[in-house]
Amino acid sequence: MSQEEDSLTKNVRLRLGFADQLREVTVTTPKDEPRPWDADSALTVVGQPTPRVEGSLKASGAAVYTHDVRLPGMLYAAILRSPHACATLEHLDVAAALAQPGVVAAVPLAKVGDRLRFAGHDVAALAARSRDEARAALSAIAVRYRPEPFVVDTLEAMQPGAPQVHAAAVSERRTEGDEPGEASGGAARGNVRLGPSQSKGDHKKGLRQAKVTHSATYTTQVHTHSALETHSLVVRWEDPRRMTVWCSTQGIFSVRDEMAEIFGLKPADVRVITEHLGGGFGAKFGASAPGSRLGYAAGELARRAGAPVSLCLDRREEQLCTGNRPDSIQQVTLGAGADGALTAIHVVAHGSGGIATGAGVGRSAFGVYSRCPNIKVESHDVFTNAGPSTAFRAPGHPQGAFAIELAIDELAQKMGRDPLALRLAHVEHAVRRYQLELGRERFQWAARRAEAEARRARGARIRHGVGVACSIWGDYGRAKAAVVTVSVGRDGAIFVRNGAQDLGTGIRTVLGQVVAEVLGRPLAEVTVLIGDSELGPSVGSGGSQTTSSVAPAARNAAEMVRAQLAELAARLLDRPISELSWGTDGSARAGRRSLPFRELCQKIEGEAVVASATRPKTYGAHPMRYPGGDNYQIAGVQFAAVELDTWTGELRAAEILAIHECGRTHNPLTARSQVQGGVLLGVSYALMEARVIDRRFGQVLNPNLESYKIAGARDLPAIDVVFCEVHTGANSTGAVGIGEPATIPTAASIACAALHAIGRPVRSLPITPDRVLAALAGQDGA
Amino acid sequence: MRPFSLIRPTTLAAARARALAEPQARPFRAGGIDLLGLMKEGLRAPAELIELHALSATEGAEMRALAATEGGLRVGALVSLAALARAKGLPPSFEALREAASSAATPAIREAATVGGNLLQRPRCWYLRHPDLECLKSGGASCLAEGGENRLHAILGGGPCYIVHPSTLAAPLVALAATVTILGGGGRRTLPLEELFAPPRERIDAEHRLAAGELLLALELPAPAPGLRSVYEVAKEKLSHDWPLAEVALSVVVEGQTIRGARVVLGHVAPIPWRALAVEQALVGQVASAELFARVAPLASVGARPLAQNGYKVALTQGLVRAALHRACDVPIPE
Amino acid sequence: MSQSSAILLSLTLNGEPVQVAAPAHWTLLEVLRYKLDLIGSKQGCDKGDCGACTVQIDGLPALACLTLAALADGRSVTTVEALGCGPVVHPLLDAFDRHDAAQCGFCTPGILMAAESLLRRSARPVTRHEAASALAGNLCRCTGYTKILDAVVDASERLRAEHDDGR
Repeated sequence: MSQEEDSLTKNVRLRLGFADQLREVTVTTPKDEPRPWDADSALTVVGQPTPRVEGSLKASGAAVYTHDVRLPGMLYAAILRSPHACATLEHLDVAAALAQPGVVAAVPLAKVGDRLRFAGHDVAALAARSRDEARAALSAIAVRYRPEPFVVDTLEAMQPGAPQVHAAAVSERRTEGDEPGEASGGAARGNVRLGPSQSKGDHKKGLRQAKVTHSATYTTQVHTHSALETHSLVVRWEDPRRMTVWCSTQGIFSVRDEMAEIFGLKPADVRVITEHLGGGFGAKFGASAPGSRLGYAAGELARRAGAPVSLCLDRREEQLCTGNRPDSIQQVTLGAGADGALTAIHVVAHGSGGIATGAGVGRSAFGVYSRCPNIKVESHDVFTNAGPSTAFRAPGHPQGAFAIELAIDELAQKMGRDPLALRLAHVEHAVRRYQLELGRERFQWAARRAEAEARRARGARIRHGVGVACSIWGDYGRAKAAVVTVSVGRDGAIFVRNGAQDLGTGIRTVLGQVVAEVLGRPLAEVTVLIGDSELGPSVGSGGSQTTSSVAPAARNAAEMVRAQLAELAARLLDRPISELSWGTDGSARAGRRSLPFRELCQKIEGEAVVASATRPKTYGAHPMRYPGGDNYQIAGVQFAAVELDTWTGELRAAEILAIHECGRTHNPLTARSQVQGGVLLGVSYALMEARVIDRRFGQVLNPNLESYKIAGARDLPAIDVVFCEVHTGANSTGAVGIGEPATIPTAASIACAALHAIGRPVRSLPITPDRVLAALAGQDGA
Repeated sequence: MRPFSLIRPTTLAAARARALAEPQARPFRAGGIDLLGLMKEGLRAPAELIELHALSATEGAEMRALAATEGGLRVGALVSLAALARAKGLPPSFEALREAASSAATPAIREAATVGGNLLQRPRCWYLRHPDLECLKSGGASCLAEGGENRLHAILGGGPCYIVHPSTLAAPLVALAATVTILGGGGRRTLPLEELFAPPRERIDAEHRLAAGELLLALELPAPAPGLRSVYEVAKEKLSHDWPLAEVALSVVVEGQTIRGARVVLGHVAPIPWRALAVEQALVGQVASAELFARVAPLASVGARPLAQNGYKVALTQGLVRAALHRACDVPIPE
Repeated sequence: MSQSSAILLSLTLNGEPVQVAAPAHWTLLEVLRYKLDLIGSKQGCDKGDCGACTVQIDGLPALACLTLAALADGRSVTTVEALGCGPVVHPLLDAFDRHDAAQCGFCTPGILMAAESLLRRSARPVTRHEAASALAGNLCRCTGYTKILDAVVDASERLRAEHDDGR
């Protein structure tokens, strides 16, 4: 015992697990860490479906987004962009633009001699008194390009002799939206930049042992984030060394650091405000995507003009220049023994994030069917002269899941096995197995599969199909990254402060819930202030890490505040602190005496009791670790039912059952919203979204929300969301992420259901009528 | 958008005179949906917009009318799609028109968009609409869709340009044998709506046969023959706000079980609303049945010359025709 | 390039008479957002594809980005700001809040205006299908629409109940 007391850690016994699989587990935490909430913790605020605290603000149109910031004297910026897929800048002079009506400042964003590597590349920016004056003045900028050979097609770019997109080696740009891990080494061969592989066993041996094999190529399209609020920022210089930036960002501190670096300022002298943010999905870390200089443009224009500058991209710019999910070409080979057991999984993936890196295919093939002893997944970036990829909700995973899951179904079809049974035989994660079994019953898997097959057999015009797929993601809650401050004033007012931004997930509400829970006060008494770098360091909202990084820090800070209040109460009640307990209304009790919360607060010396805290690195990963890490592996499964009109090839998602977990569900109302949104994003990706680029001209043909098709309210399947709460012992509140897992398996499950309905696979996304009709006509793969 | 002025003529003559003086720079404005889109995309930069809603009550009466005629229907060019879709007392025979009007675009667009504008809007071809590319229609030397991304383009009647006509009302109106009244230099003229549309071989700068300054006043649907029924079927990738991949509007006159007349019009597969004459001929005189429909539907694509990526429209169009025939003739689809 | 002159617009905006001068070629959305600082109506695509700018003109849904401001002259324009300023919380706003129908909230004002127009013109509670059809022009990238439709149907039932009680 004494040894343990001396050390910096302590062991606690927690009840961890899920459903009926709960057990006592010893977890080691830092010594000053509160006892983590586990399966035995009876909570009253956390875990309750709670409308978001800013809900009425958003519903009344009063919420201010970066697009809506209006400052006295503010100017509006516009950007001149290269119309060429690849060109060398031969001449650039912005001076003439300064003579145009309303124009106040202009700056070059590229230098003569620069290679502009995609159609849409920044060239110059100007600021004017109105938006249309700014836009109109762009044509006055004198510019001359020398077009260069280019390549926009991923396969063509892989050929020897293809135009070289980057002359020099490209280092990987990683943001908080990317899955944590080592940046890849990046040996290059032409436009192909070799990525690291995930490997276990010997896949070649496994394939030699196989009695049945399946090998096919799966392709996915470029998917654009298409957040409704375009990338935008407003810069105001407070003095020559200090600026305030309003930015539509999911990474306030990444913008702060970027702006500080660009302008040689101290990070502390850059204040970044994101009160509300109109969607990000991974594209809004830093002020702009690779190859783009939005932060410099707005900041430099504001500096030269001596006035605040608002830079809000238009929709075309947003679709061209601010990010996308790379495409993929995945060669999948599976082997299975006579008993149906997988002997090998081998995936070779290529994908293009345009001029940027980031075309991996996630961990589905490597991590989900982990009972397969031999697995190798290789993925490589292919550079093309197209707009940059950025992190996009579960980078790599939806495309990876699509290929491996459809390949598994095709193998099952070949072996005459039920695809769900084949999955269950290879899934190790107890939670995922539980979810698959739960879904089998809830979705009436066997009955619906039989009904669909009967329809197909009798040649019905409308066919049905049922499929299932899994998600894998990690708990990336970050240690010591978010500092949350909790204060209780003499008037009893409770404030929670942190510089996190709300991506739309409802983090304000969760922070309030956690603090209300600890202090035993109603949520309405807690004011949560976020969205401003001055409110304390925080994490970017990517990797599904916000809640799990910030909520435990909030709890820890609230516990420290409560400890201070306890000391005060003990003194006031004149009892030793060990006798003190707390009522559910926040009152302090000792013996028969009790002190209501407000009375206690009135006795606070000075203005308030304040504490700031962070959270330590994850201390538990029960019951299953993520491959290659110490963090918990988040499990999820989705079942899809599709309806197919064989006469027209129209295939619709009719129903999705989404079974997920986010550790301890802090707010089931907003968590459910996350899952519903993730599912619809997946439906849209599966069935309609695709960036179309003309390979002869290197031009994107649908940089809009018209022919780049996003699912609308009429395209919505019935979505049944089931949470399976897991006590992981990861942190003091038990939060793990949900945003990304929710969208990973949707397209894969729909593709599997499409195979079931058609009888043949559609191996390319999106599954549009042209491909469905080809598959119905007997073309394999379509 | 480039600055322009808005002209508000109160008489048809004034409106026409204004436009005729400089037709390219002075377009008429009605719903303004397509026009503003073109202006925002930089594809048009008019100096003036001639506001047709400014016409006086008497001068604009014909363009605003939505009224029954002896058994038929008169639809003014300024009637909104929404008004058409919710018009009470539309004869059941004109169901195809109602279905099409309520399927086009979005609820808010349908409130503003007019019948005339719907018929005269420019194609959605993404080459035509691209600010940095020049196609045949935008002054270039060749059709860029022909060897490019042509999944959404024409399989019938294409060449040298392969647009599909964007109007969703055109197919049902032609199927219902509408005529159109036009006001031009020689006064009023009336012609079958079918004849309003110009294929690219005939005219590359526009998709209609109106002369400069001519105004489309109204459409007239003749009284339906007894037993006439019409339906509209469309296939879209997306049910909320999407352009059709293909559509069919057809009218049939059924007497007992026998089809006495048929007009079958395909949309979004050709540069003009496309009469599937072979289907029409094969139907007339036949007894409606699932077998008949299965047999004649493939005739819908007679003459089709698909491009590299749009061959699927052949099967799709056939499927739509078949489905539409079942519905129009009330023949259950065999399971 | 000719500089278009400013025009003076008189309209009824959220029930109040308003006069505003604006360039003749501006859209209603530009006048709302950049002249009147009514920032509730959003600019998502500026060409009619996303619905974030949906307002009502004479009670019917309209895309402010495709409406020339000049044509709103003399008409009644209603924006999302009108819904939030009544003495009691509008049932639609209340339903959006309770159902968690807004995530990032950027599309919400346009959706509310399209939905409110539907509910006001419907003599009975609307079905999910009717709600979805009325919102077919409003894109939302966050929610997946489920709760938006839940909220619209819920609000429509409440509005009808209130209306029936009031009779």
